[in-house]
Amino acid sequence: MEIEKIRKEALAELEKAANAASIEKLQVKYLGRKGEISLLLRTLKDLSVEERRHTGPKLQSLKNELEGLFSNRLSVNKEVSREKSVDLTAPGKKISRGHLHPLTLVDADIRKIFLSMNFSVVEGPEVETEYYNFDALNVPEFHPAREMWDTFWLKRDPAQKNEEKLLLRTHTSPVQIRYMEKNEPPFQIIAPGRTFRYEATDASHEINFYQLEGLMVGKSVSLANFKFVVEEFFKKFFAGQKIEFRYRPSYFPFVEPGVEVIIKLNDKWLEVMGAGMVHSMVFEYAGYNPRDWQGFAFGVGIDRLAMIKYKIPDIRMFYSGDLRFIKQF
Amino acid sequence: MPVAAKVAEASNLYSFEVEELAGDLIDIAMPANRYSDAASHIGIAREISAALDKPFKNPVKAIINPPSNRGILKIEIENKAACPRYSARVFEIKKLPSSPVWMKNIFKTCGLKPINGVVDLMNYVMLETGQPLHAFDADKLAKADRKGGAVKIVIRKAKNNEHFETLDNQRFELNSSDTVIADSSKALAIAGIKGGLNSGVDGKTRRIIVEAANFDHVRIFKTSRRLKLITDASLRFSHGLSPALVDWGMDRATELLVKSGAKLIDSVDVYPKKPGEEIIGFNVEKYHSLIGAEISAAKAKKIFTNIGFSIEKTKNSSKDSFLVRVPAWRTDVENTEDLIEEAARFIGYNKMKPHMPTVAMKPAQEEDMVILKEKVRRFLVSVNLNEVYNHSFSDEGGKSAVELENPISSEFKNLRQTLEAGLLKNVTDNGRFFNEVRVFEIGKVFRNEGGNVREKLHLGIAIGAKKKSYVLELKGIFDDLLKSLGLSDFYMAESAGGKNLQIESRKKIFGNIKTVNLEKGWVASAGEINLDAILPVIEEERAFKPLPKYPAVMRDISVLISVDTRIGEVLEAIDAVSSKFVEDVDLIDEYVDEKFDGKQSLTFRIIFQSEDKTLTDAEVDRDLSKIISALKKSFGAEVR
Repeated sequence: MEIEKIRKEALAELEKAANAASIEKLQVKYLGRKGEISLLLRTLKDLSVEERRHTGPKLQSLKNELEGLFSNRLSVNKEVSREKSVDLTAPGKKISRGHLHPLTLVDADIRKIFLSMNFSVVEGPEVETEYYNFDALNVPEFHPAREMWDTFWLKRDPAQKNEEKLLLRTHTSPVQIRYMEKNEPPFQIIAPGRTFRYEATDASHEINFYQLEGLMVGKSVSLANFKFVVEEFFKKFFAGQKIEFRYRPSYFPFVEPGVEVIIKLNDKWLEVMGAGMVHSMVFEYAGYNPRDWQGFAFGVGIDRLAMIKYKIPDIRMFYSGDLRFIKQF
Repeated sequence: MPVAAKVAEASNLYSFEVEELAGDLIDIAMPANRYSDAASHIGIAREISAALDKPFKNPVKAIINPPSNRGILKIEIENKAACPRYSARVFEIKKLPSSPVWMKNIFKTCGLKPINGVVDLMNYVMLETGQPLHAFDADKLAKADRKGGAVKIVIRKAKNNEHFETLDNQRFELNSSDTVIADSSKALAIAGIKGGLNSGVDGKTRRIIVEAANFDHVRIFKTSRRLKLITDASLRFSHGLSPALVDWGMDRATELLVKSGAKLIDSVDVYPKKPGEEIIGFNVEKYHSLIGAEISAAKAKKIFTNIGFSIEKTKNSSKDSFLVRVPAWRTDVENTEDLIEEAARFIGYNKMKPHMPTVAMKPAQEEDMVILKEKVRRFLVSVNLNEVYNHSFSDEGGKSAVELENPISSEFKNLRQTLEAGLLKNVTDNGRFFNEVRVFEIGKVFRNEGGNVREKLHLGIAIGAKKKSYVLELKGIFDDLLKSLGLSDFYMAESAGGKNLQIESRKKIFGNIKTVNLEKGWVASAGEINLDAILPVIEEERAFKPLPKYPAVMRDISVLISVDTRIGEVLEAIDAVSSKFVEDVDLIDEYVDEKFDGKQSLTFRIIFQSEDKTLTDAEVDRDLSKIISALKKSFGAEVR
């Protein structure tokens, strides 16, 4: 009989239905306005009273049966999909990633800015000779001027072949001489690197720290050029902050004139850099004729810049190896 | 604005940094090259006058025709190199004068202790003029003969082991590198540094000898540092003073002593070689070129005369070029750049406009090692390692340790020879806060090789966790890192003792990997390589490898093999079969069970692939059986 056939078909298809969408399709096929059961129900009026009395209830109970089954299946499916679907408001998975040290980040920032002004990047050794660290930079021996830098001296090994006195470089300035000995001007370079001072450590002093040396030499490189370069650098490094500049007379044996650069950030004046025009004696030590060339040089503390930029209160944190600190960057 | 503040502002802008301003005290940071002319009230006044464009008056009145060489005092300079000038005057006093209140107040502000009327006067004149002075009691000095005999002062080298006691009871043993002021019997003072006991001025003194002298700054510096004795006098002399200051010091002291009732009875001035004054050229063009700003010749001349220089009138001076005579007391001005600095700083560095430099188009470069470090860092961060910076020092000793002459502590008495110790400490320290510690450092290490210091750049990595070893992950990291840098020609082999893995290229060991047991059950895997060694052998070329056209076939084989057989050996044996279809061999399982009786089970996943065709099962099986028989033959392996 028709009703039996439809029933068998409907149950078979319902069995096969895998998801809510297909179940709903079947619901429409059988129980929808144009569905099979509905069509059959409409034909009831064409039947005789006798037939209607026979078929009607059977059709009606099939309709009820199918409605029940469909609604059951759909609610079960809904529960199943509730278990499978993701609650997007749950916290995101904690990702583990590696972090670069903040001094590396700052060094990279600085290099990028200077590279964009066509400054090349060079390096020099951490263990230096007295010659490159002091003598060739016009810092006289047996004079308090040399005591401007508290030096770590290396013990001399009697087997050492030459007479050189070795130390841990107190600034990156020796790289100026090393570079000039091997290269012809005009040029502009920066030389970042680790430097050392024999002094008690505290929140603003460490025995090893990072400096950046800058040197630009040419036929007519001037102090006004230095101002331009250094102001461009600080404006880019502290991009987004209001910055003012002050220059004060200062003394370093390897520059003449010598200046100190002070910047104003967040209403505070901060000493950030020593600089000046390369001293003629330094050119001579490097093998350049001071009549033919002139240039400026500067030195800036990278740790100091990082502390200002990231508001880090204690320089010792950089060398603590504390991952709770490093993972912040 | 109050006067002190005005002075401080002018000093900061044009002369020297003011460190502190408190009431009458102005604390000025004196640069090391300006002690001769500016470490005095006169010097600062001259600077401030020039800065504020106000007239300056030197308060020192020259004493004309003092009584000289009357025979009361004789001076002999034995070592002339140590003492370019020695001037002394003898005064008679009726009693020791007392210092006026204003002088005592000045001492208080300037941190000097009042002693007595004569010594204080010496110190006051030093503060005012910059010339250190010393006073002796003439009658405490040995004489040629008793009755009115000449007092003789000798400036000589100290004798080796000569004992000396200072006026404040410090005892020193001198040697011939030290200079002393002496009479015929003993040393009276360490020249330019400190006076001795028993020759100073006190309440009984009736005749004073005032010394104003000049000493070689190198000798003063060396003696002062060796004896660890720093005084106001030694501080000034060691920076290098001009002998010209002696005139001001002596004349000013004379004026003030005479005012307090003393009578000048003799003076001697031994000054064999008076240095000439520097005459230096100034050129407006050169100023413009160096500073990058304009200056008029007139303005420059005004600045120079304001600071006590004079303009030479010569035939050769043009409008923009002239000669400047620099007074002897400006020991720091020696060339035209020094003059340019004087002019520029009084114009004011803040006034000059920045000016863009012109730069050649040659592209900027980073040194190869800078680039390499960047690549290494990027790689390691991508495998979840964190960068640390450790100190360059350590207490690790041994023959190859580089020692410091003046270490800051015993923990840091040498330079580090490896990065490992620092990284292991990082693991332990961070273990308090993290379950797994993954760190790396790129830094310099130092070794003593045959008496010479060798500095090398190393990369160190450490991965630590509780009771778990990550040493194979570390091995994989180094393997992939080196390949990604472009080093293809390397291999890792166990060291002779079997304690660690050595990384070698072209027969040179440039790295190692090891396991270290730490406290509290933590295990760290540590590895270190020498980056300097690999930089020269890295090949940059990367070539695209075509994607495989044909599918790979995977076969897993499990072998039962003696527990003593090294996995590396098995891999080598599989490799030795040289099947051209074997693309990769990986160890995917290993375990030991009691019932294996001295054997271990190893499961290898072998990937077979051909570039030219899809491999048939028969071809794969044939190669697989070659591998299996090789393993049976070499190790008696059983295939499960």
